[in-house]
This record gives sequence, structure tokens and C-alpha cells, in this order.
Amino acid sequence: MFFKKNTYQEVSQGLEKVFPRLWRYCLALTSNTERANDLAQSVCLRALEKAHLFEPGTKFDRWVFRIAQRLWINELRAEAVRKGGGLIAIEEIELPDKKSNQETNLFARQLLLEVMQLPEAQRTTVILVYVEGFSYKEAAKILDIPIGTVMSRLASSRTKLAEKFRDGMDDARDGH
Amino acid sequence: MDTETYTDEILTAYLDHELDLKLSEQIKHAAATDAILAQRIARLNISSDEIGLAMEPLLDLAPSVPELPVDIRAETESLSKSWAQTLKTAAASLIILAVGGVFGFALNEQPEDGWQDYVAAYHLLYVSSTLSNIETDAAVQANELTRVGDALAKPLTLDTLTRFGGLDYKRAQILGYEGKPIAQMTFLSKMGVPIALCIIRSGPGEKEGLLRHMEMEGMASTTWAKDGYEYLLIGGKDRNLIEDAAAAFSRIL
Repeated sequence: MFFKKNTYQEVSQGLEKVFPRLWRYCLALTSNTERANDLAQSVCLRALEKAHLFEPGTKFDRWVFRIAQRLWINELRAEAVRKGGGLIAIEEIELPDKKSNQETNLFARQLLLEVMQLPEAQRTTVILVYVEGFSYKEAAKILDIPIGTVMSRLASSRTKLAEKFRDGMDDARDGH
Repeated sequence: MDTETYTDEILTAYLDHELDLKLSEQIKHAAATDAILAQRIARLNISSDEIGLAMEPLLDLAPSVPELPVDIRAETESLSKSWAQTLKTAAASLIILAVGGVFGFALNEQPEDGWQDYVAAYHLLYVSSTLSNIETDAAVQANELTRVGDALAKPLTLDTLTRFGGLDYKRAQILGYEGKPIAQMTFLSKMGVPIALCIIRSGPGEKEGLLRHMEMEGMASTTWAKDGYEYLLIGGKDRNLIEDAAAAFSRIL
């Protein structure tokens, strides 16, 4: 038997807590809500299958995001490409409109769209570092790349995003 | 330090507070007097907090947490056996498993052992050279898979079996257990370890879903059931390889 620790319950509970964030990361990886659903579900099953490998006391979200990354890159992305069908434009996603300040929403929505339109490698790195708050070192581990690559992806992303919003940021934020 | 030597990557790390204090202070002071450097920093400057806030609405779009399977450990028994038992089972396997398309024996001498135990014991006899010299002509392999798939009433294709990159597909053959055909597909890992994927029609009441990882006859193995068939992937000691390969096969088969 390979089950050495009783981590199944811990992983199961961790998945329930982290699931919305996991799904968002899956959306960043796949650019497609249906594929994000499938990937997130596959990640949950894979995490439970590998529950015996989770080390209590380490960051659960980092562990499960790494599973998502590996599952997508090593196994599912090629299948998705082969099946084709194209990607659903992120613009088509109906975002919930919770905040009353529509002007703030307009800026945030534009920023969200710009982030989601970054190339996959940059997009996922931005999500991990700027949205999920992982350090460069943690993001490098999740993405299985050197820290220098994390830095260059973020530098490129910052350049693109700042350029988009350099003139328009204040206007967008002010709702003009 | 010449401020031109600060790359965009370094300046990004500066903005992200990822630099050590000394270098961060150097850049801060340099930017106070170096307009070009300050301009370069401005060119990279976008609030990461605002990016975080902008992405928050996506959390509300996430579907509900899928129903997670319960812990199957209680259902999974250790299948390790003594060497004597292994030999006994292996010997019985050689009798029961009719290699090459002949199946139909109905031996019930050891009802406590399932088909997977016999397959595991049989696979124990495989060595690298069992498979290393097999002809791997794609047309031959495709025909062989069609024949084996027909016996199982399950389409098997070369494309499916070669999709997982960590294993080199070798051959397919029909084994038999209690009158039921078993499709046995064999592979060599990149390290030359023989791996077998075996499929049999499910018995009634077989639970489908989660992959079960265990050790059988000292070999890493994973079992699962799906769409009316039971599966066993077994071979070697590299449990990560077996788990990853099983995960891939469980999706595509």
C-alpha cells in the first residue's frame, strides 16, 4: 500500500476551499469556461488520487495549482488542440456585476480582458504572482520554470499592460 | 552600478518587492536622480493590486465544487503476498491465462483471488527482453489491436495507446480468465521496464470512478473501472509513472 498518511480528508477539504481560485486558474490556462470546468474537475480527482503525496504543513494551494499546471501542459492541452473547436472569446464571458460603481467596473473589466488576452505563459504567470500572491520562487515551482523566466514573463506582461493603460488608465478608471 | 544595467526583469522584480533590500534601495535612489531610469520604471508600472481586484469577478463564475469521491482506502486491501503465494498464483496464472487468443478455462480453485491478482503474478514473469525484440510495425500493431479489441467488444487503436509519451507500446494479446477475455497491452518504459495494461469486462456492481493505486506483487499498479470495463495498469516500481499513465489512459480509453 502506498497510503502512508491520512491526508485524504485534508486534501478533500482543501479542494472545497480552494475550488473557485483553482477554477479561475484553470480558466487562465484554458481560456475556455468548459475546458476550465473539465480541467478543474480532473485536478480534483488527481489531487485525491495523489493525496498520499501531499505533505501536511505545506501550502495546499501551491500543490494543487501545480497539479493543474502539469495536468494541462502534459496531458490535456494537446488533446484540446487536437479536438480543435477554437477558444471562446473571453469577451463573451458574462461577468457578475456586484459592485455599484459602474465606472470602476469598466476599468476592472478592461484590465481583466487585457490580462486574459496575454499569451498563455504570461497570463498564467500574472495570475499566479499578481492575483494569487505567490512569490516568484513559488510561481517558478508551480510552472516548473526558472525564476528568471518568471521575471521575464512578468516584465513582458507589465510592459504590455502598462502600455495599454498608460494613457487610458485614468480615463478608464474615471469612466471617460 | 550603471543604471542601464538594470534590466526590465530587475526593474519588474523591484516593483514586485522581490529584490533584496540593498538592491532595491540602490534602484530607488538611482531613480530619484536618473530620469531615464524613472521613465523605464514608469513604463513597467501597473498596480498589481488592481490586477488582483480586476480578476475577482471570475471567482463568482466558478461552478460548484464537484462531488468528491469518498476515501477509498478502507475499501482497498493490501494485495501483497508472500513469495510462496506469489509463485502459487503465478503458476495458476500460467494455467488460467491462455495466451494467444485461446480463452475459456473456468478454473475456480482460488476464488479469493481476482483476475487482477493472476495478471499481476503473470506480469511478474516479464523482463525487459520479453518485449524489447518484438516487431513494432505499425500496421501489424494496428491489426493486432483490432483483433484484441474485437474480442473485448471495445475499440482499441494505436493512436490511443501511444498517446502517453512515457511508455513505448509493444504488443496486444488476448488472455482469458474464467471464460472472460482479457486484453493485455504491453509497453516498455523509457527505462526498459515492462508495463502491462489489462482490460476485462466489468462484473455486476463494479464501482466506477476513482483510480486506486496499490502495490501488487511488489509492482506499482493502478486499477479503475469505466463504462463497463475494469482496467489494471501494472509494472515496475515507479509509482508516479504508473499513476500518470493510468490517469491518461483512464481519460482516453
